[in-house]
Amino acid sequence: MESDDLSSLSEKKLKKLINETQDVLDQLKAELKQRKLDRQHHEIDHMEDYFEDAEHNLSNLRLFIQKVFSEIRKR
Amino acid sequence: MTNISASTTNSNTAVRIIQWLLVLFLIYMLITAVGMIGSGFKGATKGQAMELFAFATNPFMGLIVGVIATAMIQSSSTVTSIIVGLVAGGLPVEMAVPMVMGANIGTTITNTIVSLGHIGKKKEFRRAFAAATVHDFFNVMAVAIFLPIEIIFHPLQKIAGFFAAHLVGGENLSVKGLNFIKPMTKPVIEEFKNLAEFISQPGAHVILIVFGIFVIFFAIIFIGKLLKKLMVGRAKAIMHASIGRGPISGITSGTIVTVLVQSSSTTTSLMVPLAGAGIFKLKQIYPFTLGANIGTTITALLAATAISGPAAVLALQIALVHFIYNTTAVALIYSIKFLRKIPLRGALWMARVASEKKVYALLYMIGVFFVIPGLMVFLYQLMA
Repeated sequence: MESDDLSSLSEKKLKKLINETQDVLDQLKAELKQRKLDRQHHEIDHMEDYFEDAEHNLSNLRLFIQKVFSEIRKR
Repeated sequence: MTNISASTTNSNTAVRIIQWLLVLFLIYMLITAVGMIGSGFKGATKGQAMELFAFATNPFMGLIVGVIATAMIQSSSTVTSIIVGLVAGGLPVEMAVPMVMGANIGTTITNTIVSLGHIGKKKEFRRAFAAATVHDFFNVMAVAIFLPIEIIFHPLQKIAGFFAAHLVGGENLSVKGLNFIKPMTKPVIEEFKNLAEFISQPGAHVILIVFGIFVIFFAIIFIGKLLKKLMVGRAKAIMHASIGRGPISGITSGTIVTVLVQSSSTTTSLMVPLAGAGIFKLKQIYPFTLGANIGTTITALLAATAISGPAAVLALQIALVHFIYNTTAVALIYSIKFLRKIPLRGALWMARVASEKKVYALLYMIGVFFVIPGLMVFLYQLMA
């Protein structure tokens, strides 16, 4: 909406638009929050996989040290 | 079809019953092993534990022992259970307190190593590393606050001593007469003693300690593995219930999940990939991690039940030190906004630096887990 259009609106109309926009914003925020929570619940359902991931930490260390040394060599 | 599903359910139930029996057996072995360490240490030092551990009269030396031992074997439960056994065998509680605090720091290395698995993706690594190191920063900060106070005034030792004396050694609330653990563990300890004497008569006590350490180590590993299978459903339900709620709920769920799986490093490591993927924010993971600190103290309390007689008070005292220390540290640091933010800011800063140059992540780990505790030992000796 252009600013020229806005200046032609009455204060009552402006307030109405603000309230409507606020409602839409609240709905969008609630939807976003709900999606985030749904994703979290979904991932918690796969907790077994994360338990397994947590056990392979020595291979992580090896990979990390290789990366550090390759980073040092590049310099 | 109904018959097939009924027989599958029956066999699943049978497997679960066997797994639970195995857990009970392993807890029994854990308790027995603590008794073995206590007995072996008492015999090996012949009441001279103070002299043997003279090096740990420097509290920072005790701290570094706790940090390095836990970082090496990646299990604070194992280290604190061994400490309970050593205290029962004569190691002064005063020397054991910094070791327990060190175990708290040492255990954080596990989730830091888990976060290194995300090294290939910069943004992911930054989030995962922050989620892991917030635990490090918190535990180091807790030691920085509580250890000097403990060295000067011994509040943890005194409060834990008060409760331990009332719970197992007091006049009114004594459960001495009800101790059923010793008759249950004594035959197995005697068998291990005989085996140790068979291997070497003069070194029997030391061999008994080594047996005890091995049994604790493997018992805790397998208890963890079994409980992960048995308790995953319960743990999921707890975490589902805490999602979208406040930090107190996060701390509580972290505590309960850790008690269920008997491993703080498992609980904290579990959250690292979830943080890396951006599913959970650092602010959500932080209280959950603190709950793990509280939940892990249950193992030392369990281990303390292995000890009877006069040493029972001391064993329970050091286990309670672990519990009171972790609970108080969470309550103090998390309830004061200024203090609460320090680990968050530290972790975010460190993660940003480490994601830019990976060598800093390596230097950080070596520094926190090995160099800084070493420097503290040196400085304390200079000042003493």
